[in-house]
Amino acid sequence: MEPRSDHHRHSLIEAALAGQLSDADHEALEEALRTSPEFRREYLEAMQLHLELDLLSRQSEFPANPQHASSRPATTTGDLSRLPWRFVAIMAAAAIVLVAVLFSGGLRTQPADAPDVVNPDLAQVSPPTPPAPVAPPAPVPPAPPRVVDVAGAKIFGEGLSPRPGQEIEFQREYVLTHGLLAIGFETGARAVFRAPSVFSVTDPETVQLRSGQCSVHAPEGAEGFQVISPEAKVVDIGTRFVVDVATTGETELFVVEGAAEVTRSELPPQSAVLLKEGQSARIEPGSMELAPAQSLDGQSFLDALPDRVVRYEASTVADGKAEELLSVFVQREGRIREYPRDLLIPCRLKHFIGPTNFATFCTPQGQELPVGIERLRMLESDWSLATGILNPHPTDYPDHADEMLPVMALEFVRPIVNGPGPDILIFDLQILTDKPEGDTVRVRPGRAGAETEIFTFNTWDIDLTSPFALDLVPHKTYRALSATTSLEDLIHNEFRHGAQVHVNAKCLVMGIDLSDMGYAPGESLTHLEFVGRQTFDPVAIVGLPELKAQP
Amino acid sequence: MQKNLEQLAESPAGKNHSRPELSREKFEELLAEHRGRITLFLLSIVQNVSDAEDLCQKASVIMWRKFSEYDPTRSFLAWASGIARLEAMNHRRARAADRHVFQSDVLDLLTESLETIDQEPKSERLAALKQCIRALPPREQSFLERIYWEGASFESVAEELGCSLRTFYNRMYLLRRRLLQCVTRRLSTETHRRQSTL
Repeated sequence: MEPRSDHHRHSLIEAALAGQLSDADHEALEEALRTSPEFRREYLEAMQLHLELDLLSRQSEFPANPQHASSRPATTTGDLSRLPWRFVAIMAAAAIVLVAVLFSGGLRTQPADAPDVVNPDLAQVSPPTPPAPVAPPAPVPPAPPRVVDVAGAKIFGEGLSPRPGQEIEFQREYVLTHGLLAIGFETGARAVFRAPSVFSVTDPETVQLRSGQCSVHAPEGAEGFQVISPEAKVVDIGTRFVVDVATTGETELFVVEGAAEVTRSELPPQSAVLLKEGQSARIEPGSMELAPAQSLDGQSFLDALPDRVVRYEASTVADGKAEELLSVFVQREGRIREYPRDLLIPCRLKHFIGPTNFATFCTPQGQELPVGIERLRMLESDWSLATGILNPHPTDYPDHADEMLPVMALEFVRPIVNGPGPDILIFDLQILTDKPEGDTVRVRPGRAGAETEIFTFNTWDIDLTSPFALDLVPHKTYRALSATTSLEDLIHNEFRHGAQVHVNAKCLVMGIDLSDMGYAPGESLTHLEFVGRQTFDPVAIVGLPELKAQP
Repeated sequence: MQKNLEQLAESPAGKNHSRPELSREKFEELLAEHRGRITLFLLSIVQNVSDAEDLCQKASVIMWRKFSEYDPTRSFLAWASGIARLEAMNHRRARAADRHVFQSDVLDLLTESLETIDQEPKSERLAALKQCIRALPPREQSFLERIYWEGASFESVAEELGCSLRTFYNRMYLLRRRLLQCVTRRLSTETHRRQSTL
């Protein structure tokens, strides 16, 4: 059995060193050693380094960076051992003297041979001083709620999207302008807000919802969690309900599971009405009546955020900038799954065109543009997030731009099977001065020339505002000196890197669900075309393995 | 090693051949020159450092015993690797549950590739390696410290990081590649520096 890719082979070397080769892995390793002289050399070099590291570990302490060593907190014994010995001796002597003084009852003021006469002053016994009252411990402030999950969430006035783990401040009003935001409370309750919404958290059990929609799950122990709107108060009895507040003031409630009490804001709690599972209510401004909800139902409830690309991991260089993709985390069928890069399905470039003077390639600074067919690997199988083939675009820009013209075509090495959530991932290098929400991508499934529908995607699961968009190593681009009209041009034409002013960049990720292109579950795609003007800068385009094939 | 060789001087093989001292010196010289690569070859088969070192010791004894059969016109490394390989195969087969034995064609290919592995004097490589470890970011340093100095398993480090084992394997591969490039660069710089002062 052959290894699936170069990267699978590399992980086999590590698995061998870890003593964790399965039978299948061993076979794959053996086959790779048999067929590739380069891999044999890599294998032996890795073994050599492993030997040397083992030898080093037996010979000496870990060779930490002295700067890092000094930042580590010193141990107690370490501290004492570093104090000058004379200082320690003096302090020890002083301690002995102090102890002696305390035991002797104070320094004598009379000559040693004088008879023991009780000092009349000292004879007066002062009443014992009552112990100072101990102040009660300060009350522990309630733990603030925290962001637990985000899907394209943007909060007005904040540059970056909220990050899981981020604190939500009490009493502060939040305006959610895009996406979905899930917040977790100390009691275990969870509230998911859908944009557009305006809300604040007043205490660990209360959300003020001025407008928008909020789905609440209050498990056992979190009963009593309440959502207060301008017109109504909803108290959870357990466990799930959804509240919607219109900008005109109407409040609707639907109980998905368990029960909840609802009352008009100005009325006492005794007037609350109990609603059970499947029941709903609508409260209009100025009306004392409760009516059934008109727009809410069980489908409105948001328990989990939608399937999407959650984040990715990359190797980093000394300053923390991302270099190579290591793995990507994707929520599919409600569960977040990690895909190491050797499980991703690479593509082969089949067609590419681009205009003169457009940046067509990028590489990390310090590297040169490969020659020949190696250039195609920059998109096909190179995991560097700073190498890519950029700007597929009609060649006669700006005079005429045919929106139906195929500008790039890919073939995946294995069919991509439509499953829950994203099926194809596009990794894009985006400089920080470009659109934070990312560029639009127009694709058409099928082989070149197939008359299939064109689909437009413009939602990047990880865009420039996402805390999971990693800063990339510095890169440089290469301009086309003449129009790129074919793959041959891409391989053989001259592309020039000029005097580059590096602009910081991050890597964005878009997940494309084949269902959004009309594919039924289980149907597969092998070819994908990009049509019309494209301004995105792909550094990797991969497919996700079929869900059932997960290890 | 010296004690073993002296013992074998009295072995049947030693008694039946009048072996001049030069021969033993020659053997020790050849062994010293190639021991690193022999151990490396053994490690590539058994994938465990202690086992590889033990096997190297055992194989060295056998090599000495059979030294009279060595053809000086052939590569000593190739001859020694043949002996070492048998020991390694026997070692693996002796572990009843261990089915991970490379086929002989793969071992032949590994032996050939061994000749191409650069072997600078060990102390220089280790010194360069120390410097390269110091230059790593703290996170990568911690991987090496946990695994090599503290004896942690790859699995436990991956768990501490919160990533899958396979992702951690890829990280370690990249880290190893970076260290190798750094060591090569440092040794090359040092060689040029020495040459320029001659």
